[in-house]
Amino acid sequence: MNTPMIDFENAGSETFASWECLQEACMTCSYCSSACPVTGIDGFDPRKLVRLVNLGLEQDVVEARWPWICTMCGRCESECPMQVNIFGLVRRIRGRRERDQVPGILQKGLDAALETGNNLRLPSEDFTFILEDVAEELAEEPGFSGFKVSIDKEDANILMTIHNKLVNTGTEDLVHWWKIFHAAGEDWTIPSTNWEGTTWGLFTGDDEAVRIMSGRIVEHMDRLRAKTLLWPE
Amino acid sequence: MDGNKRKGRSPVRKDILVFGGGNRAQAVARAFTEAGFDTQVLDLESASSTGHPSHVSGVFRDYEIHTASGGEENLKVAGMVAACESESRPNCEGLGMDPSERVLTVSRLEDRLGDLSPAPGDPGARPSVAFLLGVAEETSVHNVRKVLSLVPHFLDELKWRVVVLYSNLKVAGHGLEALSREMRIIGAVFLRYSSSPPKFTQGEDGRVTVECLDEPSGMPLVLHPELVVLDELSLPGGAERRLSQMLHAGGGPDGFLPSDNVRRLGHETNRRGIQAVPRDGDPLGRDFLGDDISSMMLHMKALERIQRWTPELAAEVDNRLCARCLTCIRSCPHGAIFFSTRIEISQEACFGCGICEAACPACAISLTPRADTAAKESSDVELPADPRKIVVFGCKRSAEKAMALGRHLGREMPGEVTFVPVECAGRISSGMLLEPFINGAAGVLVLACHHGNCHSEEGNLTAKRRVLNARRTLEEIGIGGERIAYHTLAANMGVSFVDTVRGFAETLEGLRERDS
Repeated sequence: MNTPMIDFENAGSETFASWECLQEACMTCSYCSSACPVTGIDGFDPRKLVRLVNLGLEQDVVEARWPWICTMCGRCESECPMQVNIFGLVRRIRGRRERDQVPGILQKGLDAALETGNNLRLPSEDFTFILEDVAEELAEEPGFSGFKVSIDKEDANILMTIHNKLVNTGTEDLVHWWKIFHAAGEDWTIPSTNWEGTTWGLFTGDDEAVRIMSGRIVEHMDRLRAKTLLWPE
Repeated sequence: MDGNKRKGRSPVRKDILVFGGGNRAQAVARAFTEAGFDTQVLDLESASSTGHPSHVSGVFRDYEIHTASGGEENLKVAGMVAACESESRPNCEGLGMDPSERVLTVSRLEDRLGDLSPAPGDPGARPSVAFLLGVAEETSVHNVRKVLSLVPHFLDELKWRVVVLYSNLKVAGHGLEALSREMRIIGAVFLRYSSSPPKFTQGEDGRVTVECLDEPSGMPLVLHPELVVLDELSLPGGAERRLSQMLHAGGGPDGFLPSDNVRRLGHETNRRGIQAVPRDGDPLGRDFLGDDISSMMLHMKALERIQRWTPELAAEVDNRLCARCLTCIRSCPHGAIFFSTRIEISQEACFGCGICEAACPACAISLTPRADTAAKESSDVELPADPRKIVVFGCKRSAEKAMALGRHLGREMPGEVTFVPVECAGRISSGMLLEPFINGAAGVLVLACHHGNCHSEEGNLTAKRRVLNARRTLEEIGIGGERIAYHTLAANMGVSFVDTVRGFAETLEGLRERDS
């Protein structure tokens, strides 16, 4: 933290006070600290974070590295006896940072997703090529002859989003779902654009980005008239 | 019962006499009257109409209040209630600041609340108020309630920032935990310290700067409060101290009820039928006069109806052996022993503690089963004829229960221990401490209740004194003073019980090795 001392009368952020995350209810019991998998890293501890929010040290908290150490797993919150919404606090704090100050890859990936529809800036034709290539390989396995990946199919039962990792370094994981679909005779499809299943706005505290990314999936559902959304993220 | 043989005009009879000159006494008297008790109030500070009482004689159901002048009629009552007003002082001793315009007690703040102005709309620095709860000395739930009730006014009306400084928040009163939670949620900052207490610096203008460590964040925190609000300690007033001395109930600087009285119900004294309203600041949290009154009334009714006392033992004197030395009268903490031509012990007033028995140099007193009880066994303390290595004397109220708990918890007791339960540690005479050694014991351990918690006032201190004397004797005859030890325990200290006995066993083992 930057400030060596808390100046009580000059702290007291109105912004923090307006948040309805029940942070004031904190009894400083430390259940959250024990539950947190990253407690201790760079002096981070969810209890400290809640305390500084409670005391209203807005600038310190927003500029600190702590909120970005959190993995947002939510274990702190599930242990909290006072139901403090710690996850919500971390998101809101992250959202208070200037966007160009958001740590490295998170903002880069999100910008790419907002601009191109996916975190990798992968063009639609490359995406389709990868899917078809993996599908061809699957079709050579016993029991899957004739398997084809279904892209942009209208009126399918299931519409599925894709995590960018599955068309980057983890393509072998694409086939697990596909095998199940094939065995079950499922009617399914994948959109050729805006297929990104992750929404890094969740991690950067960017509600608007989350709205845009989710909106795109809703659009697919309408456009392709799919009955069920499978959003594995 | 006949504890009073003085002659005089036939006394006026009442059920209950209430001592006190304030609202508390009036409230108690009203409640008892409404419940059908014939009640009278006596204000010791302005007792002119009834005459100033000089002393009180007798026992429960038959107390007699004697006036100083002798001219007035004596008063006979079944029971008494002391309902004196307590005195308060600001709880700031040793903090380095004094009450001033900027350092107010809660009571004074309540009077001055209207003079304080709201914070300006400017969103910059806001004035703050720092409430202290038990920072100098331990506080009471009564104070906690008073302080927390003032918080909303500062937050909502004045738009000040509020900080509550404490090390131990007492919320064990009706609704207090919910109230403290609510105050957090509306914005009061609770600042708890455990190891490093806050530092206060008072400037020329009386304004205080508070420096402390915010423990949850690990960061130092500095406050420049507009106001510091002190909680108040509730102390026995002069009237209460004098009255408790006159009644031989309590009687120390703590008045009727020691500050952390856990030995009996919050209103009972060491004399049957004499009760005292707990002070506002009773740390046990009895800050509801109504509850106290109901409780006292139940107690009085129960005493009226009671046929069989607990414990089922009472001291009995054999006047053929009695040397009339009156030691028993001085030693009895319950006002149960009287002398006219011979010693008489009131069965009604006796608590069966055995302190007189141990004090009697002529061995004329013994604890015997009360006539109307089922108890048949002898009540003599049975010293083991063939003691194993260690004899442990323990008060039945604390040590015996702690031993049972220690066993229940599966703690391993050292072998070769004989436990001898006694009604009160004060019942252990000097002879009893030494006799086990004649029979071959290696050590004697005395376990009494914590100081201030003895049901019979100072039985534990009496035991301690006898232990120290006995140690000196053992030292002089050359077998080692360490062979007798004294410790205090509470009934819930099962682990400590076992650890204490083990520690003592190890000491004895060390002596054995040294001497062999």
